[in-house]
Amino acid sequence: MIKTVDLVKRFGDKCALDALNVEIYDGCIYGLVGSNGSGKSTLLRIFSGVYYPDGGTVSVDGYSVWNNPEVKGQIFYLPDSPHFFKNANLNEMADFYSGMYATFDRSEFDRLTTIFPISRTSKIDNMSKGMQRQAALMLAMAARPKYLLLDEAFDGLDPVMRNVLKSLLISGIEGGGMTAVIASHNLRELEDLCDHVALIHEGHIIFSDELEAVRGGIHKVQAAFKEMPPHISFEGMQILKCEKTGSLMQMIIRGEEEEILARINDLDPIFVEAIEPTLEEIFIYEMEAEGYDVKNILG
Amino acid sequence: MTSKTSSVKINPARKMLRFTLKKQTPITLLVTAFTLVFCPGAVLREVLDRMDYVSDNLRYDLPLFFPGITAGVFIIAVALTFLLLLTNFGFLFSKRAGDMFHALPLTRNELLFTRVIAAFIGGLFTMTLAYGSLAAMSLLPMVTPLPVIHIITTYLIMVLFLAFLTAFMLIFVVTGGGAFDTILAIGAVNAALPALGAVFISFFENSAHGLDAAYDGLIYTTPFAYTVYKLACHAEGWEASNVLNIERFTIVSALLVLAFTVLMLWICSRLFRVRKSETAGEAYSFKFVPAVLSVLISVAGGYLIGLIMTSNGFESGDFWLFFLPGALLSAVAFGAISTRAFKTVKGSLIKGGIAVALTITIVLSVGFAASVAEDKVPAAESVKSVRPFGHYSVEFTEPEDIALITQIHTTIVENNNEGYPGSTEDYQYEEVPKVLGNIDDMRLTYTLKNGREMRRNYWYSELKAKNLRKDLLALMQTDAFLADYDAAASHKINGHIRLHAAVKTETESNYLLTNKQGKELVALFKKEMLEADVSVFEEECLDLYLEGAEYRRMCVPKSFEETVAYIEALEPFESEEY
Repeated sequence: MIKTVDLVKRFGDKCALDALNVEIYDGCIYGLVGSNGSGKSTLLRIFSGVYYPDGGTVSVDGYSVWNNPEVKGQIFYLPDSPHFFKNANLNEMADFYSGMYATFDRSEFDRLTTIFPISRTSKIDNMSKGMQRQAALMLAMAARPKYLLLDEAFDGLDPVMRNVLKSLLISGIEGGGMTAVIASHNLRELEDLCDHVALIHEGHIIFSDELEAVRGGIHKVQAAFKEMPPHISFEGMQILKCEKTGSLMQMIIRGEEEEILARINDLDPIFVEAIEPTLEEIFIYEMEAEGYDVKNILG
Repeated sequence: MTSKTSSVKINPARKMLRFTLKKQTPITLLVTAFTLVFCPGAVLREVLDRMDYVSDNLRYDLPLFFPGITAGVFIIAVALTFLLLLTNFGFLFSKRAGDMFHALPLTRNELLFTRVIAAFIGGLFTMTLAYGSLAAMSLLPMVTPLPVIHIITTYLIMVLFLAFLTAFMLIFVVTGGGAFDTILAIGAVNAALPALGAVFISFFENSAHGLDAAYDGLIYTTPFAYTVYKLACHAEGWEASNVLNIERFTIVSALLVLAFTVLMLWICSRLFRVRKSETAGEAYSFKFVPAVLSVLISVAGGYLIGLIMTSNGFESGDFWLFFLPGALLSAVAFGAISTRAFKTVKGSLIKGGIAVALTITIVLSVGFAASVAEDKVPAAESVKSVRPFGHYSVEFTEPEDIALITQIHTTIVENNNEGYPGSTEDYQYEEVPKVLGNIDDMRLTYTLKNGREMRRNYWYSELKAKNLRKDLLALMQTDAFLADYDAAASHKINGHIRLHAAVKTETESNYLLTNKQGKELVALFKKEMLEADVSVFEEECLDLYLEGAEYRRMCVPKSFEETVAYIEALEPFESEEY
């Protein structure tokens, strides 16, 4: 488990992480969402031992990460702009990482080279951004770390490769006991992948919960009425948002889906349906309910 | 927080070292190839030209060129090591690379030392190959050989100094955030410190009459200066140390250099451990570095501008009118270069102001120290020995001789207090009496009983020397002073004593003297010198140059009739070869 307690990181006058508390349990895919400059990358760098915190603590399985190679050997950090040695090819990079990570799996690397369409002998410097990202992901996955930290993992990948990566992450977690922490400013990328999602803003965790719990509690309901029912008819329902367009009502309601539909059916609608809200919508509604200016937060 | 027990079977540090060595191989080989063209390539060409000449006088004089070639090889090795340091620690200057390297399962020390050891090995490889081939040439028949012990000790000293300079350069690399700024910092420190040291010593020397400051202290201003001096002394000194006053590199010196190397590596280790990864790409990783550099550059820049504009130093009022804006301008320029913007002008001006305040403090302190030192004459009892006419002149150790010299020194200081050149209008420069020959200054070098050295230098022509004549004559009549001519009056094995003098005519004649003649001549001179009075200071003299085992100038007053007659009786030796 990765755990932070009152984590603080400052860059000059700017406080990038401000008494931040996070717990990431083993075997999950943890989505870290936030706008640019919210502190996601800083948090990952502290998790991986790149940065030293100015306050608070961070521990992995109870041990400090900073300057601790045994713990760092279980963590693979893939930054948003991965670095490769000058003129190196994929084979050379794999050779390097196999000497760094005891868990590096050559056969897995060989298997990945059949999945990703990248030459093992071409200079990585000469590859496109997307290809370089794929190369970095191959190395990261082949290292079979216990904790895989990905910063903007899907940046530069085409839709096919995005799905491949998602499959690999899921199989890595199911088969290899891996834990993945994925930082992204794009909620849509994470919604069908993460078990747990946290929203970070100005160095604070604003919201953090299991995805299923988030999804299960909020529903988007559309209903049409010949004649709009009076306001009082919806009393007792936890409506987070309501929009009316002619005879059509669109509501975001917290509660059990069956109970909500039953209540609305009692109002004799022309039709009623429950639509699964996107993760982004859920966040927006939750955050607005908490009083945050969500547009600014999600950028 | 506790530390986790290792179960890792691989060794990432060893892998990192191997990988770094492999990555730096091409540049190392390239520089090595270039070095081998210079040494032994160019040297070998000279040697091969002498294939047919293996006699002693036509052999390639390796001992003559050895110091220069050794220095060249060493400089290339240091330059290569610095280049490798910059490339191996490139991740400190790039955020992308920094993310990757700092996330690797290595401790900071492992990361630091694997990279620096690789750079050192690169420099060592080139140096060993080039130097080894130079040493091997000593075995060739057409080359004048070098002593094996000298070849070995020089190599060991070079290795030691390479490690010493590597550790020193590493401090700049670890504290730097960009390659350009790191190079700038190394350049600024290693140029400005010795230069400013020389400026302040010169100011100390010029601040009061007679002060003779020790410029040799400049070798301690930076490890580079120390290395250049010590290595040059050692490379030159294998045969010259008996003749010249060259300081040999001792085991104690080696241990001190080693200790400083370890100390600097320890400092690097501590700095690297607390170095913030996020400073990669910024000019410097620690705030103290630009602050120190800014002050240093401000003082140097201010001085340079003051000097250019007024051609004067700290003594001049005009100089300070230019020093102040020069220092501030230098600070602002350095701040702009470091931040790549003019966002820190206020901070730079403050640092420039500190530099000015610091300079004023140093100048006042040095001026005060000089004024105190000006009047200081050591007590005769505290002096172990003294050389009154320069470092290589005769050394006086007898208490009564030392007392005589301190008496002369006291008279000089007292005369000086009554006014010395420049301080009084009626001052008259005095001509150096002929009898003193080339002793035109009193360059007093005291070795005190506490082991310290005290030096004073007074130009004879600036002294009220008439007051000194009695004591100076007494000094010239001492056993120690007269015994100094004995070496010039004894010939080398199977040789002659050579005498150059203009005796009967204005033209200088040459004479060859036997050992007996040389001793007779000096004995007569000594006898008449002991009988002389102060009137010899007014006399015309014969100028003799006596060259036996050693070379001495001997000025014989015309009143030394027996000595003059002895010389006149000699037959000049007229030979083309002479």
